[in-house]
Amino acid sequence: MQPLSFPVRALGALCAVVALVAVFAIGLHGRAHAGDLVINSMASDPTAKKAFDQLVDGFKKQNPGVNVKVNTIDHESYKVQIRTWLPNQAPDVATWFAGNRARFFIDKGLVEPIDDVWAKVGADFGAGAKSASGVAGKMYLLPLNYYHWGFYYRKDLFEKAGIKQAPENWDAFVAAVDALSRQKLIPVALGTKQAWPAAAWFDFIDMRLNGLPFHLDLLAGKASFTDAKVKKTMAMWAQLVSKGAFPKDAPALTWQEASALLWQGKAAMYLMGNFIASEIPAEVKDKIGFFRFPTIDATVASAEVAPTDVIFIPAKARNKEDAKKFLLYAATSDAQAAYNEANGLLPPNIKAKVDLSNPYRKAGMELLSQAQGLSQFFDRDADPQVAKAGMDGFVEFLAFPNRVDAILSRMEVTQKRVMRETK
Amino acid sequence: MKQRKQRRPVRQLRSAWLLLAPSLILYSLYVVFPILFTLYLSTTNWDGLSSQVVPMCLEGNSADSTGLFQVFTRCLGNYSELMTDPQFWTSLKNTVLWMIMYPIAAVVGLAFALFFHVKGYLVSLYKSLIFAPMVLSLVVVGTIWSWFLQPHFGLAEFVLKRAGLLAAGEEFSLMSSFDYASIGVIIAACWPHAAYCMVLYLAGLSNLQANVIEAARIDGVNRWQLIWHVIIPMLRPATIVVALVTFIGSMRAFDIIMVMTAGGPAGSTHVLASYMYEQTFQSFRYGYGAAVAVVLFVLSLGLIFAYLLHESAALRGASGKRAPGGNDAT
Repeated sequence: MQPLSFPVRALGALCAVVALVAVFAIGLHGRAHAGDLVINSMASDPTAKKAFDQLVDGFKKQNPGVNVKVNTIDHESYKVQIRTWLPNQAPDVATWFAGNRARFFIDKGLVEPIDDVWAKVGADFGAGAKSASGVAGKMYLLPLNYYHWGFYYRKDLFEKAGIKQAPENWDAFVAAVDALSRQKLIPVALGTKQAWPAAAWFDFIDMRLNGLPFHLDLLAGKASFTDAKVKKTMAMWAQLVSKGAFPKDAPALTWQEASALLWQGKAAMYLMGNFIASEIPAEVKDKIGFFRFPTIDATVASAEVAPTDVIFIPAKARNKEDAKKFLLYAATSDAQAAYNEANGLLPPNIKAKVDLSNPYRKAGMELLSQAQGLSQFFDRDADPQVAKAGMDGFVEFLAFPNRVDAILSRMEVTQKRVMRETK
Repeated sequence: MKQRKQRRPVRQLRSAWLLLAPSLILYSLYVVFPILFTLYLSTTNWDGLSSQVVPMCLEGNSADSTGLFQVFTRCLGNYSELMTDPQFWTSLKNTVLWMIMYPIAAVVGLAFALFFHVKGYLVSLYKSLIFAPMVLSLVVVGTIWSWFLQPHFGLAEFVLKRAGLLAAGEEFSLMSSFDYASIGVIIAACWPHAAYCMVLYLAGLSNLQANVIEAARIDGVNRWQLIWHVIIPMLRPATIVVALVTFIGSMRAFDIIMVMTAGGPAGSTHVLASYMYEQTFQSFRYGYGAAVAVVLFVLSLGLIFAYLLHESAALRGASGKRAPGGNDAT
């Protein structure tokens, strides 16, 4: 055989190098040593990352022998990528959401049960947080933080409209909407450019009217969206829509832009999560107040929307021993207090100290500690497909309330297909 | 001698294949394989997580499959669902709307090019100002336009109110309209694309044969006749490029939609590409998303193929006609 010419040999060498690099890249992507503790975190916003780093530093101080490696991945990518690495090359600890999003992985056997961890720390957590962390009596998740939802409102505009106090029940709320409309104000700010803010309305009305157990059953596919109970929920919502309670241009506004309507005094109330509290401009700080979503049926047990972020140990984790140590540390009242102080959120550990000088956190602590149950928010409690169909449906409903039956039956079709496919 | 002649082509062939190998391997790995895999994926309802990716018709108890035809149609379940999915038809309608409206940018670009094809230092300034949006990322363009078109706070609303075209209590509701929001997005996308087309046409204009234009002038044509009958036909090669980039641009419209509306309100501005993304990566229906991708692929492949065939035939025809007598028209 004749020797190969130069370019061919060079090409061959190049191919070999490429192959080698590829092999190394794949190999390095995995992990280095068995003693490492690998944590995948989606705390990518500056504040959240700082709080999480602080939590890890606290753990390192107590466990100098463990080499902790944190991979921070941005929120949206994390949600997609977790499906790739969780069944294959899992880290030892991962951050995630409670609710359906976690149940999905738990049902597939990808999450390690941590009943032994909960046996040690269980007494420090409230009933709501506990029920959000387990499935069928087994514990899988450790809650790190949650926050509350409710109405942020302009005290000055309420006064101008002659509303004496924050509405506590539905009739008072509807009366307030009427009074504010008469003042040519937008009664309730809403921005549905990202569809989720609309879903909060469905969550609250359904929970207040039909109770948390029905609401969670509905979102888990155990009840039907075409049920008369759901239709009643939508009818109450439609009552507000027909009164012009929401801005007509909500679909073109993000939630931040809609909050500007409140700051500028064009709108009087806003149903939002407490992450908005840190965005209140200094000029209007004194004019803003908070009240809980009004009661609709006084016989229904009180429940609140409280999206909870958790950490868990993947079933495929290699260093479960150190991972459990980390979970035990993250569950302590000190760690939870420091973490949530840095984050501006609320600690699920009821013994953790919270700085109550912030009126919104104080209100949130009261609200969540008195609640007899917690929901995680529509798109965390429902399957992603159902959540997507639902949230789009709600945006359509706000513009065309008379299409309600078509919207609900479309959601039901999606729900049925999901139930069939996941079986 | 004879032996060498026989051996040489074989060796040449071998080195030819070797030289081709890297690009062939990369091309099949990154282009051919994903296309075939997408085709396969579109027959499954993979959730992106399960380790087994099985076509719908082969999973579970296949005992109830009565015949080969039934098995086959069940594999195409995603496609039959597409046919009854109103969101798919909305997305397809919007894709067609993009294909119809996006070429407006090409016409505007041609107008700009003809207008600015003169010398002068102010002209260069204007040209670079018009070209500026082309340098911006589409994400920036989308953000600027969504601020511009915003109700309550946007500049468009402010101007319309000042001009008395919008009553004081009203809001500029283009982007919150279920029927017209897509048009707002397309207008935004046309802004940088018109600049791009202008540059392509300017390059074409500087390559025109001056003597043909001179001859036309001597023959006494007026300005419009010159543009319509002489310059635009001579710009044909540039037009082919512009038409292709415009068509491809309208088919892959995605980023600006995600920035400006994310498909909303309630999916009314989705095109096939963004609907595919939403189904795959937000609803985690990889199979269904793949089916949308296949439809988009077939649609663009078919249209591009038809266009190229038409253009090459037209070019051949044109050069064939011109060859025998260039001056028979006058």
